[in-house]
Amino acid sequence: MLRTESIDSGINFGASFYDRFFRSLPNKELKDVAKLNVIGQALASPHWNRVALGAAAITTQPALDYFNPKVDRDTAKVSAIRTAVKIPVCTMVGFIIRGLSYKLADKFIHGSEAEGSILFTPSEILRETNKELRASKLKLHKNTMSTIIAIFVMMFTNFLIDAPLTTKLANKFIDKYHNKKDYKGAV
Amino acid sequence: MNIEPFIRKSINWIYKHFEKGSGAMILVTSLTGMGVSTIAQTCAIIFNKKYTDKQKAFMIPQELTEGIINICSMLLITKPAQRFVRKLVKTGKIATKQTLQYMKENDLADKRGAKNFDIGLFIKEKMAKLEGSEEFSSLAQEEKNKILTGHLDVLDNYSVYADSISAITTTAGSALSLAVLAPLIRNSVAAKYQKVNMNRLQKHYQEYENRKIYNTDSLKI
Repeated sequence: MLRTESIDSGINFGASFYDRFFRSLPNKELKDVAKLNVIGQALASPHWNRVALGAAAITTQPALDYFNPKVDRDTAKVSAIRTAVKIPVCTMVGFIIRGLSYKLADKFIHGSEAEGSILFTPSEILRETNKELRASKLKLHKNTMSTIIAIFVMMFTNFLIDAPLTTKLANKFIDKYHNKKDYKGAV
Repeated sequence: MNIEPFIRKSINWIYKHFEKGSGAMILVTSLTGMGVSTIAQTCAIIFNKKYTDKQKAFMIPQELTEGIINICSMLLITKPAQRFVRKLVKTGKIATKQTLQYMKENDLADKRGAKNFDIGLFIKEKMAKLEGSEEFSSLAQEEKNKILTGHLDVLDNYSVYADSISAITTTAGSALSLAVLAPLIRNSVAAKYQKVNMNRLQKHYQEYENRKIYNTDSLKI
């Protein structure tokens, strides 16, 4: 990928080529903006974004682990079990923590002094005179702040909840797999 | 001690560095989350007694490689894609009917896709210029509001869809990495590591056995 910043500032063959290439790309008029905004704004919220990524991971990862031809069957099955447990556990914990963090940010961040404390509101948002623009900037700021809170909390929960819960549940399923009649033992 | 100025300064710094849109925020979250999660899950594998040495020899590099791939693909695929799509949006290559209409009304039709053109910035500058002009100040308040609302409406509409497209691009990039790239590459790399590690373990075990035989023999003598 070409770096547009350096291209924009330099006068060279690459710059004009990239510029020409960029301009030659077909123009697109967005038709269903309402739908796009619904999806986009949902994905912009940290907790729903985590769910989307969890859903993407669960669709392929356990299957690819299970059918991994490069390892013995026992390792493939055990790693598939661990992956199939890890993804929902991490997604669920991530969703809850991000959601709670958003509620916390929503409670303490206000658009004006009339609404509550403005200690956690950036000066630029407070200076914004247009009501609609201020609301959209405030929403973005709440997302950012909730994400920062979530990152801090997850530094601990990854070790205290995610990893132990994954181990506990994975071990349960691995035991079930080991107790199966056709289990021939680890290779 | 008064910590209010410190909090205010930090909040302003955070806002300044994430103001470009949710994409940047998602990127930072994902990178940090992935890093911490990888360390935690690797530790969990190391201390889990249910896994055999052979399984651990596969699963530890598998977990570590996944973390590295996710971080690399974020920086090498997701972020450049996000930058490219943002350029498409801000230059009007991808735009709504309302934005296109606004561009037409302001003689910006030929600027579509032009280097360094930013429709959002144009609207902001246009409004600032308007508010600073003498002609505008002589207008009645109602008239002023009407003109400004027209520009703000386009800017608000633009900001929302630009932010939505940025969030969708970032999520799509991360999803591609998580669903396809990471599992395929990590399984291949981890399998190689498992082979190397198991050979090394086998060698150590052989050496240990040989030493045991040698020591027993020497005792016999």
